[in-house]
Amino acid sequence: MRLIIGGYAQGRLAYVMERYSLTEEDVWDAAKEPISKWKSQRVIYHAESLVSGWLSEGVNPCEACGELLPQWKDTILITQEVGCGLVPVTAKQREWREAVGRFNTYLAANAQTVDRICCGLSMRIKGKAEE
Amino acid sequence: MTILVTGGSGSGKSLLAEQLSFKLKRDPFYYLATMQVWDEECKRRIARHRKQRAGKGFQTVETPTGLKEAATDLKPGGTALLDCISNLTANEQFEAKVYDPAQTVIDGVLAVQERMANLVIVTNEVCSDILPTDEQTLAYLRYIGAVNCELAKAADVVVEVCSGVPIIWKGEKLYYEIMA
Repeated sequence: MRLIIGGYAQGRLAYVMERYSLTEEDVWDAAKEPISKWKSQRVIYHAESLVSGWLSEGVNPCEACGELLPQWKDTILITQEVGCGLVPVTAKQREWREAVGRFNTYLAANAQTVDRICCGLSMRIKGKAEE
Repeated sequence: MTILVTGGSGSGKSLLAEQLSFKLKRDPFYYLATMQVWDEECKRRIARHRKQRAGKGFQTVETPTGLKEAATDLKPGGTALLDCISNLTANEQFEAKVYDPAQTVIDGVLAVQERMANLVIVTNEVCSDILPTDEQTLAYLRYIGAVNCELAKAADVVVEVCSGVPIIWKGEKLYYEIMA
């Protein structure tokens, strides 16, 4: 499993498409459908959105994600950095932001490579460059 | 030589950008200021900043909006420091209300790049937070993101500053040559 992380509008999807020579059919958007609709597409975009679904079902995102890890061996997950601003005003947002942070950390710990994206550029922060 | 400097608020990116400008100094030595003048307090602050920078050899040009047009008045061949992209983008979106703020800012910066021997650009990392719910602010983040991606392509060096420590995203060898 590979993890791509970075801020909003930093060109994360464009980077993945180019680097792994993928097409639109390879991309599944977690912001649009529940995880049950994922059909083994190579890329899971907006992975942070998975957390919303799990939280609303009262499920621990890291536990739910742990069950999916065996299916994600060749999957590229694109997630968003959401923890570098002020503490959100509502309790719900605070819970979501915290959970996304833990979820991203969990993904990174289980990923073979982690690429951080900024201004459309990439930096491998986990794993060797040639992996 | 074009350098893009990014980082969070108070990370020391303006200071590093200034240091890089001095290393690449040529005449004319421009500071492209982007603060919008709202009131007397702004005027006083801007006057103070101009004076500070004049002491450092900078010639300040106020370019809160319309950078592309302002670029034609710059004498070519010098070094310019542009601080910062987030101000420029906000001014184009909320003040000038141009149709495409991102493209307007990109075109402006590229016009300056074409005239200058060296350009150091300061931008801002504002996209790593929980997303705002209103479309205007979200659009603002999209514009800044688009500008940053485009300027990173056009830059020889891209450096992120974290607590004053540079993290080089592009052009590492060049960066250390300049700073040597």
